Amino acid sequence: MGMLLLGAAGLVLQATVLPAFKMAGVKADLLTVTLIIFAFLKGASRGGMLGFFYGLMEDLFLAKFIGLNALTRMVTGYLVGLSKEWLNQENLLAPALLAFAATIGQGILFLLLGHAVGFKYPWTAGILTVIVPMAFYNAGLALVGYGLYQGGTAWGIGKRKAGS
Amino acid sequence: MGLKGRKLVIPLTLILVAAAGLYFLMRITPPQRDRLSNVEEGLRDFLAPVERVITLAVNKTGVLFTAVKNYGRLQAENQALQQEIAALRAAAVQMEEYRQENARLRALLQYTQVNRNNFDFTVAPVIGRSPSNWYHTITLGLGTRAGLMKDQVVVTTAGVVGRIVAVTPNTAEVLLLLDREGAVGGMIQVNRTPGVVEGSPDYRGYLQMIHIARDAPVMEHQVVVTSGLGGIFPKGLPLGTVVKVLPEPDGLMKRAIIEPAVDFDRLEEVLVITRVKGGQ
Repeated sequence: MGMLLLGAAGLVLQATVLPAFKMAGVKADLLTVTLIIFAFLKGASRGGMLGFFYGLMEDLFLAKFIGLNALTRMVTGYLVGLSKEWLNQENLLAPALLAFAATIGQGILFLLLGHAVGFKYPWTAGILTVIVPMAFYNAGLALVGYGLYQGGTAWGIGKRKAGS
Repeated sequence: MGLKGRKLVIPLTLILVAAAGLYFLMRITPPQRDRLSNVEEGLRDFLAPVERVITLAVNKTGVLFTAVKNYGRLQAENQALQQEIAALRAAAVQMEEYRQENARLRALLQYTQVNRNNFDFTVAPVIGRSPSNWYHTITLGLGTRAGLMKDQVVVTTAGVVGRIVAVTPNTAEVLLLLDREGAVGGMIQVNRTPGVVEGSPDYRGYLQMIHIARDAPVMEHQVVVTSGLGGIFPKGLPLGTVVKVLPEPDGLMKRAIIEPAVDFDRLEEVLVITRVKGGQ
């Protein structure tokens, strides 16, 4: 429930505040970053499930091609979640690299499925002007976000030890 | 005189001599004198630094005591002043917001006055944007309750913003010209060369006019306006200015890259054309 509320908050921020922080013409994709960090920590099935709900929420918010984001984000969450087994969770760079690769994969899947349902965005422009800048932006955010998460977790553990 | 009498006379004599001496001293040392005696001067000069140090210490201690005594009151006063400063700063920021809003609304009002013979307008606030990077839409804070409907055109004093594509009782979604789905009939104002204006996928943030014949007189700095073809956008509304002309790969056509007249990143209030009057 907390993660869904976090997703809803991210969606509202993307619609209101983040357009003021565009880089290379794109704004941050908080849902993707949150999903990737969550899936990296919790694994494939939970990642896929959260991806589905985040995507569905976004589809309902956008009111366009309902299911398009649900499907792409579900696949992203599931595939990123597989990395839980073979990537070191202590490594700060892992989520950043995952975010970069996952944003590119998710973007291409979005274009592919989009073309199938009638959202015919030009391939080259879509990849060069949307997906690649977004991948860099998301990777940076994932690095910062995961750093904050790790710092917060370490602080919480330290506090619990001090209390016991 | 016996022994007892002598014992009494000596002190008495000494007292009298001392009294006489002191009386003499009093007489020669009135307050208004030309100069002090050497003894007095020496004593004063000797004691002066000591006096200075002691007075300083007493004064400082007094200040310290006063500060300690007033600490609580000063702290409360400081806190109250800090709060007042914060409130005044917030008020100043709010005032600046009102000032800017007032300027924007004045400009919109003037625009509606100038165009009142052509259109009826409703001023609507922009409350959100598309959270996705794939679509270019904004959300207005007014909907069907305020008379807004699908396909109504949205403008600012600078030019065309887009058209309403979805509407709820309290919101309206506007498809911006920047979106590839938001194509509009346009023409070069100076020579009436027609074309289709839409969002440019490769020049993000710019528009493009496509389907222009290769020999059409289209060049940089020309103003592009709506052509009125298509039935949704009234004729003659500003769309932007040509910044680049590029040949199409087929060699028969060319396209023009257009800088939009409207700054789509800084939309706060817009005008919705709720009715087009005769002559448009």
